Amino acid sequence: MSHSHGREQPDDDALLIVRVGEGDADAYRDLVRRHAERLHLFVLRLLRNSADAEDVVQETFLRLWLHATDYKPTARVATWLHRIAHNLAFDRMRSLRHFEEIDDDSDPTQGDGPQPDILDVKRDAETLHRALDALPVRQAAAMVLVHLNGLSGKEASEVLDVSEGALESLLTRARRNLKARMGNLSGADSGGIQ
Amino acid sequence: MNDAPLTQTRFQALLEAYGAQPERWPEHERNAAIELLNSSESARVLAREQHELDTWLSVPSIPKISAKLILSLNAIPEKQGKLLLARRLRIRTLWVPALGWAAATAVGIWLGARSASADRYVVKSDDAAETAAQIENERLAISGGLFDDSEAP
Repeated sequence: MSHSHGREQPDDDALLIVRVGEGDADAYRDLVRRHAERLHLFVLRLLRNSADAEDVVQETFLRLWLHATDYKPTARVATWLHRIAHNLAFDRMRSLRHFEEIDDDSDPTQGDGPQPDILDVKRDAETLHRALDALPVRQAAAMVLVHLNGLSGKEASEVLDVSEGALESLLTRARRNLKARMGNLSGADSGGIQ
Repeated sequence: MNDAPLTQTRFQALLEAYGAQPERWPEHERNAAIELLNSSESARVLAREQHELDTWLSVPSIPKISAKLILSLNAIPEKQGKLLLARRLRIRTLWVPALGWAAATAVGIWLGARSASADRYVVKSDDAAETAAQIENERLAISGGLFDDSEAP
């Protein structure tokens, strides 16, 4: 998956969702193929539990199938689906009483949160995802939306229900945290990043 | 599209939030940011500082979605298909039973109103009969009293 993936064929998505609204299962499966992986990645960053994330993704696509006619073409289908998934994930977090973990101001590099094992790290995908898991939930969500799933800042702010300025602030803090972590990891590997 | 020049401070803020890849920058500031990047060495230095993190973020993402989840997602139309069809048919044909229900309700109200009117008439009739009987009883009592008086020694 790449960040450019999120910008593929938005018009096709809009046509597909119209067909889903008419009960076209093939169109529905095309949307699953296009969006399931990115939605799963996003929800997993929010919930940090694979079983919960899979439940939320299923619920998101169930809503797509049952309520496709509710889609309004004022937003891209990807944005609409991420928004549904975000709301379902936050409902689940509230029900699991994990809401206190949504602390945007915390600095995970200074805290007691999960830390990658620096003896075993390489700058690869696994390390990246472990680093994202160490971020506060909303910072990680903003990073995934913009940097991995290819949403624009405006679209990501709509999904997270924050202003574009607040989104930029989340992204800035997230990138600083990740750079600090990356510096630590690189320092362990090769003596620092220049 | 906003063509106003971008300050170095704003350019740095964009880089720190969105990284050094221009396609991520907000659309209304993108052209100005690219212009600054092309014209300023210090802007290029700032951009290079973000490049390594951008590279790290561009690695293929994991974990992959499970085959089991894909199967479950693809099975939703079959599992929910009948329910959805029934729901849509119910919505589309709702006006038929709704019309029947409305007609039956209207007839019921009309019959009820008629019945209530008849009841009121019967009540009035009973009231009149009762009043008439009462008057008759009183008349007989008075007559009886007179008779009794006339029979008195």
